[in-house]
Amino acid sequence: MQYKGLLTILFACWGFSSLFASNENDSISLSTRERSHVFLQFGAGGHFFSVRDLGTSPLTYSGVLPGGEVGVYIHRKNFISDINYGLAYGYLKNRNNLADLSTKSNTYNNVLNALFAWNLKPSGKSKTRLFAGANLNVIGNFRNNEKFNNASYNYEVFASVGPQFIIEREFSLKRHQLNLSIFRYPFCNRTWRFSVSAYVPVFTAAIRPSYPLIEDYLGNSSRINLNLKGTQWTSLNTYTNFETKLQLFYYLHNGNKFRFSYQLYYYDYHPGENRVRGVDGAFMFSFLFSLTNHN
Amino acid sequence: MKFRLWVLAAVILGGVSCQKAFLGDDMKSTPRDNFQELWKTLDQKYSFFNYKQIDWNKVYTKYSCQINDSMSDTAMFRVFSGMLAELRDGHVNLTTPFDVSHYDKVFTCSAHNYNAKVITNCYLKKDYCTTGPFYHQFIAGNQIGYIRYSSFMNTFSTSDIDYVTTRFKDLKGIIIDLRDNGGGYISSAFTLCSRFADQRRHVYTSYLKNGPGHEDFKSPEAIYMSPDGVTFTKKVCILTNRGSFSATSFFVLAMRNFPHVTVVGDTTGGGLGIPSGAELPNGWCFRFSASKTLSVKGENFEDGIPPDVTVNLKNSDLIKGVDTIIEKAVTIILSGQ
Repeated sequence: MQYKGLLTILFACWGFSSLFASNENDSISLSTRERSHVFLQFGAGGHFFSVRDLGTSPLTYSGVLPGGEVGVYIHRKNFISDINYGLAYGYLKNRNNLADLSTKSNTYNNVLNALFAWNLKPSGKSKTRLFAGANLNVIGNFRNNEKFNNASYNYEVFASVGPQFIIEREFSLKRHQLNLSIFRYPFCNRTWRFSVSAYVPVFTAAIRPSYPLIEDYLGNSSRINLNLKGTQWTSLNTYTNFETKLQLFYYLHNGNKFRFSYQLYYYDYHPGENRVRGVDGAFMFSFLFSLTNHN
Repeated sequence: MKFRLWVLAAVILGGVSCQKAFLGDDMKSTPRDNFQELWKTLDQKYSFFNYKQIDWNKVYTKYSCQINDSMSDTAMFRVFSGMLAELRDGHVNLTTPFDVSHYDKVFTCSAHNYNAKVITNCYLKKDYCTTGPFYHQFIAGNQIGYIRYSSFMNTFSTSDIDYVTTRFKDLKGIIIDLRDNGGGYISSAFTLCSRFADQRRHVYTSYLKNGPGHEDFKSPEAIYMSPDGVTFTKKVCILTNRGSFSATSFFVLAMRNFPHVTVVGDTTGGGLGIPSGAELPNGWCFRFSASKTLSVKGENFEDGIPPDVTVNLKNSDLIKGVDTIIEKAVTIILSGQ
């Protein structure tokens, strides 16, 4: 089943890259705009999140979690850094929709991301640029299943580091290229940038209670200390995770940007029993406020 | 260009709908699948097989032959409930839309040792105070404070309990009546306990189940209790009966480590395994004990904590409006035993 997912991602990458491939010779260049820009980013969107946590249930819970993100985004011709924190909160339901038996799982997800990537061919003149770097990624998924009257709270936290690759491409849409009238005026004759990134964590510190949070019942012990004691260092053998992100930047005349992103995130943590798997497809609309240059 | 935009939309929608491709289908939900899941989950996660000397494989043989894929939900519930009753554990329940299984033989097959009417009429009387979930009154010629706390499900604030301990601070002792208190929030038990702690003490040790073997437990976690808020460290008697279960047993287990505390009445109902929840493929929910708790000396009181002084209610006393257990506690406090 995982292969289908991988194929989907590959097709997604192919689809996006072929979508804009014909704009190779567009005359609008970003070079004047893109010397060194630091942006504050604010975004809002939705996460299509599904999780199967065998610690509590063999059933899959799914739902749409509204969320947002804040962070700092630095983009130069030769360097990209994206440090952001995202939070999503909402309810998941059993997708079997079992009449009286379905329950809501009160869920919130936290993501802290710190990406640093460098252009592999800084002197190249192509509008397609390849960046490689490292990503420090902390993900915490917390769920409270309303059905369980005692230990109802379960979670997993992964702090991982691994390589990240980004392909980005600048392009512009000419007026004649947009036949859809509603898109014509705001979108044409503007500079856009499209980027695809992929991330696979290599080293991960995973925290997951052996049972739905019965540690809470231990008394006055600090929950944080207890859970940190249970930290497991894992690698690809027990923690499979990949993330791809498609981003489309729309440049405003004043140097700010809009960004539409779609991120697909899959994880599978199986330390023995209590395996947990989840997949998150997140759409995010962000405003990037330039701190360096508004012209 | 129109075509490309459609490709873009299709890719995004494809990404959304691929979630099922990643996670696959849920388990099948036939009666047999549900039975297997229930048996297997308990086999790997229940914490008292060895202590209770339960042969879980034998239980499988006994109940699996009663399962067939054409049976009704009600019939399936009956079989599952029977299997769960083999665990003899009040923390084991199966919850369905139409019924909840429970095991309460410990409570129903023993002397009740509590009469609410006598307490209300002869001890609390008409002018008792209600502070949060606590009913409290001066008894024994205003020498002793009596606190009735009926359920740890009824939470209280620190100011509630501090008000009560302040009110009784000049008395010779306090009686905390936890008979028929079936438990609830263990955090309330800790807060209450901290008001009667004389110093920081190791009060019990918890072992969390963390592996599929029947004796796979995490390393022990020593639990300490320290004084907090307005404390009362003169003589304290805790009254218990077989209906004192779960969080109440935790409270008693912790309190009995303090030298000024005496437990009076009957053995508690036990329930010192912390319950965890799980779900079956058909959506039914069940809970079970997933830890064990030992006293400081290493005793396992899962089946009940014996009192320091065993006393049973006498019918002859009840007729006179006298609670034998309270009277014994009064004697203990006033005699300074």
